[in-house]
Order: sequence, then structure tokens, then C-alpha cells
Amino acid sequence: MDVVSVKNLVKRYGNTIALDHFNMSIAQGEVFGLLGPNGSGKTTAINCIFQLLTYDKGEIELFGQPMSPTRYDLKRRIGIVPQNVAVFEELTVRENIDYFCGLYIEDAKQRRTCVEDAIGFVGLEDYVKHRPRKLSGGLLRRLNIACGIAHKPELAFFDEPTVAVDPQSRASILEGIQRMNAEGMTVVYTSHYMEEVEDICSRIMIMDKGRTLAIGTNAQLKVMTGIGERIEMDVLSLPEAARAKVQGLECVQSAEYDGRVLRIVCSSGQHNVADVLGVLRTFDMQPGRIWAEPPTLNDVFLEITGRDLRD
Amino acid sequence: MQAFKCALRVMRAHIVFPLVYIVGLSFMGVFMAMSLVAGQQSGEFEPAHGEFAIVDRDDSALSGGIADALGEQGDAVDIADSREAFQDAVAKGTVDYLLVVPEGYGEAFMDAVRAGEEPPTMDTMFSYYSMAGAYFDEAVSSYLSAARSLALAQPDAGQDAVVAEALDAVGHRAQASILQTETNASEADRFAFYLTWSTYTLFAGVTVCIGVLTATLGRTELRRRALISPMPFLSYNLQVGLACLIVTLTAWAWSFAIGLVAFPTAIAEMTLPGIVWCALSVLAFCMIPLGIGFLLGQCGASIAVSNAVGNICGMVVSFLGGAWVPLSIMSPEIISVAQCLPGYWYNEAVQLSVRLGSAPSSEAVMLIAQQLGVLLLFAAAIFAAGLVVSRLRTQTAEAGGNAAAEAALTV
Amino acid sequence: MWNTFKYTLLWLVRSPGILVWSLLFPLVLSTVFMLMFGPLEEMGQLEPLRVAVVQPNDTPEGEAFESFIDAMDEGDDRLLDVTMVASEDEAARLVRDSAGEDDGYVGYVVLDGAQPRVSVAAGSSLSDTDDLNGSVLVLIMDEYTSRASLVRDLIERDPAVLADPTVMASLFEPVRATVQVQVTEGQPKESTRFYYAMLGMTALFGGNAGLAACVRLKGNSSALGARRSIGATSHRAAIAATLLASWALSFCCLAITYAYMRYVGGVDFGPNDAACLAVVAAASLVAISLGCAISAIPHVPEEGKNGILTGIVCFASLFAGLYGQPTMELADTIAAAFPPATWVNPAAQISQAFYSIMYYDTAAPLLEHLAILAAMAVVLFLLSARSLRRQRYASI
Repeated sequence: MDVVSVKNLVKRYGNTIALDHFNMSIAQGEVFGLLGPNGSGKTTAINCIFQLLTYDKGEIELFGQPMSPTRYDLKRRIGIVPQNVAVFEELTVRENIDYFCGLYIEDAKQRRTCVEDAIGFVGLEDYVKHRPRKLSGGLLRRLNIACGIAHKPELAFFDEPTVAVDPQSRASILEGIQRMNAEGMTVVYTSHYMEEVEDICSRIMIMDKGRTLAIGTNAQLKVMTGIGERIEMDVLSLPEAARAKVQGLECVQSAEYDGRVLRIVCSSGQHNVADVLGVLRTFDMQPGRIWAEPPTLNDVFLEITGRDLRD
Repeated sequence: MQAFKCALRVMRAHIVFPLVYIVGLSFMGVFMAMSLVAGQQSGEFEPAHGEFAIVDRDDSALSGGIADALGEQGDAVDIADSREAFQDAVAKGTVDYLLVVPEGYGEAFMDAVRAGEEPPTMDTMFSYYSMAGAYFDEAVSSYLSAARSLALAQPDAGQDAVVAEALDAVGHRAQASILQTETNASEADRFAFYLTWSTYTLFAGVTVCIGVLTATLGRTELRRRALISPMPFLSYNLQVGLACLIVTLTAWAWSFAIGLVAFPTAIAEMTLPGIVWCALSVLAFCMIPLGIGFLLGQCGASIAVSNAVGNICGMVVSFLGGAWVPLSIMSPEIISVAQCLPGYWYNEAVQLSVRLGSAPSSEAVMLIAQQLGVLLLFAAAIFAAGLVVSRLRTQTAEAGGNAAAEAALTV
Repeated sequence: MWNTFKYTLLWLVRSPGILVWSLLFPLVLSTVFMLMFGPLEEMGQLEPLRVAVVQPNDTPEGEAFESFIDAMDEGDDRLLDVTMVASEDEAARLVRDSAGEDDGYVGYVVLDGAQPRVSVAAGSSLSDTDDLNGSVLVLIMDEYTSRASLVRDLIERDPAVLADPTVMASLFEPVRATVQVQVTEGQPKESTRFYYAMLGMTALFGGNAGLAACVRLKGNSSALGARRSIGATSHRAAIAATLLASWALSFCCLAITYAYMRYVGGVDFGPNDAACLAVVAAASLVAISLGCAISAIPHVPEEGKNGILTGIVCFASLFAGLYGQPTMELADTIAAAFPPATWVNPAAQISQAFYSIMYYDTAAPLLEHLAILAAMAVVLFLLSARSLRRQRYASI
């Protein structure tokens, strides 16, 4: 059974189409990465799923049941960490978590354990009596997360939870998400940090202009886009003919030489480095050092969504 | 002039504040000033006129005469004979004076008087303007006194005859005329009242508008961004200051212009120096809320706080400046408190200005200038406080832009 | 629901902006009122009127007049504060010179033959106390005139009548046959009106709490609202708890103000505390519903809505007679000419509700005002209902 199922979702803002027959299905236990440039419709899709936004067309089912604004039973099973920090300035850390947890769990005793767990989970033990304005950016983000997951949802949406967070906090947030996933929580994760998504997501969707462009595991996406490794070689005085020969190889997409380093972008293939070395050898050239990097999700993302600047 | 333009755009985005406080409240001031009624100025003196009600359970000649005796002083209103109706009449102020004549009062009065006893009493009720009630009561007493004397003088006369003569006697009135004085109330007083009431408009309005500007532009990040730009520190501050000044001047011009337009007869009565000094008084007063707005901005007050402070201080200042209740009827203690606030001095300046002659003596002008000097001192003191706060604030953690600097250090 | 109530109350109490309006503002304003009116009321109502009297000549009429004037200038509760002068010119000068001063001469009196003639100083300010003082002076002289005419008539008819000591005594001893009774529960002072109108105003300013609470409740007006509205608490319960919390805050603040005015300031609110608290409760309800209705205005930022609320409250208070004597009269005139104007004015209804406790010994008038207030609250809530009940938005 899919935990989230979105079919043919259409959302217009006036003449702009924010979601264009958008489809998405997420299975139980996944960490589902939702990627897309700014304005591609990620947050709109999430807000539609939560029924915060009206939509023009489409079906949204959660846990196999149709979602509506009054399906409090379904809402109880999901959590959200919104993109903007949304907490009460006037309440302390503990009070904020307790309040948001209280939207899901009415029993005060049960809630107390949940709140303590959440505080421990995000590591805010030393700050429970602080007001949000006294927290640094990273701590604030952690509070934002704690408020969203204190009720231990079965399905949680993390909308760019690591924006403006230092590497230590980010690592702890990601580790936490993985831990919760291991405990059975299904996660929908949006971010612009490709390496994060690459690290934690079991399946990734890349969307743009309200449509799904690609979906699959990290490896599947790379195969799909046909991007291979990047190779850099230190070569002294490489003749142009040699560079052209390398460029002419079937597996090479581009080869650039700056007088010292030869930079090659390959398509996916089994023997790319060997092929390039073979060409150089015919010119009697021996590279000093060779680096070969496997393709990153970043490359995939740029390949799929294009390199043009976004509005 | 980037910062200046930006500040004006910020003001435009919050246009609702000037609309409510400066435009809306100034119209309220006009409205109130227009509703003022001056005391009589010339000719025969017309005594105050009120409403009274006689609930006559007796229906005798004597009781009927009371209404006639009071007819000169006011208009009779019919009130039903029930406690609820009495309460209603007094509570709503339908009548200033309500007299209940008990059954058999006429007879009892005549009998008591001729037996040399105190006459029986009647119940009266005063409404909230008790002066008017006492006034009617005095007239009733006058009528009954005449009736008593006549009843004693003519032991055999009937009630009708006594009443007729008593009414004739109270019908004789003293001649009364108005003595004109140099300080006659004039239309200019209406304008002066409007200006006095403007203390509320301007104090609340300017404080809030400047508070909005400083709260928006003073947001730590925005301010830092401006300060690290190549625009000189002084120039940036001057531009923002200029924008605040423009807003203040607009408020001043608007509120004064509305006064000029709304009270043309007052303006016609006044002299040019009088009008100019009035305008200067208002302008000097405006510097105080400008200073308060600046101070609030330096304290990092939010728009909501500026809004509240502007309103509360505006009310206190205008109240203690005599805009709501004339200070002349206040106790000396209150007046000495009022002197610690700018409204009082502003009011003095306005009162002096509206009566300024066309070629005022230097003493008269100096006197007004002194009051304005006090106002400017108030403003200067507030600005100085603002500067001190601003200095202190740059030394706090918050000024660093990272509100969490403190918290982060303790990790 | 309890959770939402608890935390809504908590954050409202901790918001300086809210507390300033709901508590600080009424306390400051009532303190100022009490400071101003307190000494005023102790001073008592009637100050003797300063009058210049031209010394009458030695005729019997002149002597009679002088003894009358002396009688008026005697005792602790004297009506006149007389200055005798030699000539009318001097009297006029005295009056003119003091015109415009706080305790200037009301006018002067000169005896023309047997008839007193009064000159009342022209009003020096835009206030009707001048006229009233003048009227009292004229009334006193009217009394002398009518008595003089009475004496003349009596002598004409029977010169011996004045030999009768009882008749003679009666001429100089006015009949005091009226007793001022209180038909109402309390006898309000003039300042009472200020206090009640002020309570009306401060109650309505409590609407800021409702406004802020509603803004943070709606999914489209803040990120916080969005987050809250996707929680698993029923939306109706959240609305109810939020409104209840803001009402509770507003009620408490207003009740504190009420207690402060009543027990510290000694303002007379009539005998019935419970009834007053009922008005406080109804007033808070209207205030919250007003804030709620204003929060539903689209395309205006929160601060702008605060400004709109302020404007409405100031305007409503004007017609409740808050800003001094002229506005009270204006409010009376408008209320008399067009009664519906007060039915839609919450500030007027609140102050009149307090009045009705003070004045009436039946509950009907109070209940009427409470009903009007409740109806207002219902209408205002209905106005905001569409916007409040909404859970989904076309855009956020």
C-alpha cells in the first residue's frame, strides 16, 4: 500500500500552472527525496497534500484513504517540518513543542514523554526554557523539527529542514531522520543540497514546472541521464590533436585542456579511464596524476532541469 | 537619495497609519471643535434653558403654578408617574430637574403656612448636570416663598388668588444684559480648541508613523546592510532623518491646513502674525512626537509597541494639555503635573497666538517664543535620550545581527 | 482544545504588544482620569460667584438691597462673593479686567431705583459654564426683584401687613420645600461618564488580542497559522479555544481595570459587582469579535489591521462621549436625533450598560444593553466566520 498517492494533481494560480497533472506515490518506509528548482512546485504539492491549498483537479490519498481538510484521523498520522520556522516567539522551546505535539496528542501524560523524546532527539535539552529569539539559526531549525515530529508521525514531510544550518547540526539532523526512518517512519524530504538527498533518500523524484521529470533511485537516475564520471589528468604540453582525439572518443562528452590539466566529462560506460589513457599513450603522453569522480546527483539534477538560471 | 526614497516607500506601504491617525483623528478634531457652543456675546442676557418635568399628583392651583413659574427657565417635559420612568428620565438626561408634587400638597402647604409650621416637602431628582437641577430648584423655592408670604398676608385668600399673585410676583425679573469684554469668546477660540485637540492627533500620528519607519528601517539586518554599503554613515542617517522630518512636516501641514479650511471665520478674525505663530506652535509641538518616534526606534520597538505608546502618551499629553477637560477647573496639583508635559506649554502658546494683534509687541512675541522654547527643550531632551539609547544598543549582542551570539557562546 | 486554550493564553500574556493594549493602556488612562477628577470632586460643586456690586444709596430701597446682598455673601454655603464698588464704571472695569481669568467676575449688579440691573460678562470661552454662572446670578437678582414687587403689592393693598412679624420674616426666609431624593441606584458624578466611556474604549482596544490570535490562527495569514491548521486538532475546536483564550485575557485585563477603578480610584459603579462583571464580560466579547472581524479584512498586513482597529475604537469612543464635554453633548444630540447610532456603537453600549447598573433598580435596561452587545458580537463573529472557518486557500 502506498502511504502517499497523488494522481493527476492540477493547481493553478491565475494563469500560472503550479502543478500540471502531478503524480507521486510513496511507499511505506521510504525516504523519498523531492527535488526541483525554486518555484518548481514542491511546497505547493506538499500544501495540497495537507489540504492547506485548494486544487483544481486530482486525487490525494494518504494511507490508502482520500484526504480532506477534516480527516483529522489521517492528519494525526502525519507530521510536517515547514520550510519557514513557524513557532510562537512568545513560548519557550518546551512550550512550543508541547503545543504542537498537543495538536496531535491530547493525553497530557503521553504527550510529556513525546515532548521529552523530541527534545532529546534534536538535542535541545539545554535550551528548553529559552524563547526562540534567543536561539541561533541551527538551534531554531532543530526546534522547528522537534515541533513537527514530537508526536511520532508515521509519515513526515521535511521541507528544506537544513537551510542555513552549520555542518554539525546538519549531520545531526540527517542522522536523526535516518534513525526515525529506521524506526518505521516514512519520510518525504525536499532540499537543495544534493549530497544530503543522495545520502539519505532511497528514492528521488526530480520535478520542475509542476511536473515529474524523473524518478528512481540515485543509481537509476544516473543511468537514466547517461552521465558518467569526470576525469582530470595532469598532463604537460598536450598537443591539440591529442585533445581532439580524446574528444572524439565515444564515451567522452567534453574534453578541455588548460595547459596543465585535461578535464574530461564522460558518458556512462565501463572503461572510460582506460579508453582515455589508451588515446594518450598513442601520443606517448603519461599523465602525472589522475582523478576520476563518479557522477553526482548534482550533475544529474543540472542535466535534467537544465543549467539556465531560474527566476 | 536612495535611503530617503526607500523610507518614503515604506511609509506608503503602511499608509493605513497616517490615514487613521492623522487624517481620521484630525477630522474628529474638526468635528468636535465645530460642536462647541460659545457663551452669549452681546445684547440681552438669556438665562440658561433646560428641561424640567413636574409630576403633579395633586392637581391643585398651587402645584399647577409651579410649571408656570418654571416656564421662564425651561421647557416642561411629560414624564409618566412611575419609578422606571423617573429613572429613565434622569438616566438619559431627558430632564435636568424632576419634581414630584404629592397628593393634597396645595392644601397642606396653605394649612402649614397659616399655622406657622414648616411647609411639607416635595421630592426632586436632578440629572447628571446637577447645576441645572439646582437652578430649577431655586426657581421653585422663589415661587413657593412668594406664595407663602401672600398666604400669610391674606389669611382669607383662596389658593387660586395666592397662586395668581405669586406668579405675578415671580414674573418680575431683573434686567440683564451682556457686558462685552476684551476677551470675549470668539470663533478664534474654536480654532484654538481644534489646535489643542490636535495634540492627540499629532502626538499619536507622528509617533506611530515615525515608529513604523524606524521599526522597519531599523531591523538589524537591514540596518547592517545599509551601514556596510559605500553610502556614508552620516548620509544614510541624514536621509532617514529627512524622511522622518518630511513625514512630520506633512502631518503638521495637513492638520494645520484642515484647521484653516474648516474654520474660515476664525481665520478671518485672526491676524497674520497670530496665524503664523499658531503654525509655529504646532510645528514645535510636532518635534516632540518625532523625538518619541526616534527614541522608540532606537529602543527597537515593534510597530505594535509604537502604536500603543503613541496612543497612550498622546491621550495623556492631550488630556493634561486641557484638550478634553479645561485645565482651569483642575486642581493646582494637576496643573503642576501638567506643566511637566508638553501639552500645557503648547496650549499656552496657542492661546497667546490666537489673540495676537496685527503688529504684536516684542514682549508678546517673546512670551510665545518662550513657550515654544520649552517645547523644543522637551524635543531636544527626548532626542538626546534617543541618542544615548542608540549608543547603548550598538554595544549589545543584538546589534551584532546574531541574536543568538550570547546563546551560541554558552554552547 | 485545552492545549490550544492554554498556549494561546500563554503567548498572549507574554506578548508585550497585547498586554500594553489590554492592561497597561486602561490602567494608565484610568490613573490619569482619577488624578484629574479626584481633587475636582473633593472641591465640591458650587463655588461662590464673584460679583461686583455698586454701592447703593441710602434710600430704603438701597438699604434693603444691600442687606439682601449681604445675606447672599454670608455663611459657608454663600452663593455670592461680593466686591462693593463706588460706581458702575468701576464695576465694569473690574469685570472687564478679570475677564478670561479662571475666577473672573461673573458680572456686576447695580440698583436702578428699586430694580437691580445685572450685567453679565460675555462668555470668554467656548463652554456653557459661563452662561450657567450668569444665569445663577440673574436668577438671584430675579428673586430680589420679584420679592421687591411682592412687598410693593402688599404695602399697596394694606400698609399694615408688614407689621405682622410672620409676614415680615417670611419675606427673608426662603421656603425650602424640596428634598433631593435619589430615584436611581446611584447618583453619578459628571466624571462618571468619562470613566464609563473610557472603559468602553479600553474594552474595545482589547480587541487587539482577538486580532492577533485570529491572525495566528489562519493558514493564509502567517506561517504559524499554516502550520497550526494542518495539525490534527479539529479546526472548530481550535477556533473556539483561540477565541475563548483571547476573550479570557481580555476579560481578566478589563476586570482588573474595573477593580482598580472601583477599589483604588473609588469610582462609583453602583451596588452590583456581578452585574458590572457581566458587562465586562460582554464588552470583552464584543472587543474580541471586533478584532476577529477586522482580522478577516483581506490584503492588509497585521499592523495595518491594528491601525484600523484603533481608528474604529477612537471613532466609537467619540460618540460615546469620551473626549470631553463638547463630545458628550454631541453624543447626546446624535443619540436623541438618531437612536440607531448608539445601537451600532459598541463603546456607547458598554458605557450605557454601566450606566444602567448605576441608574436602574430593574435589570431590564441592563439586559437590553447586554443583549445588544451580544447581538453585536454575533454579527461580528458571523462577518469573520467565513474567513475563520476556512481551512483551504487558493494561495498562501
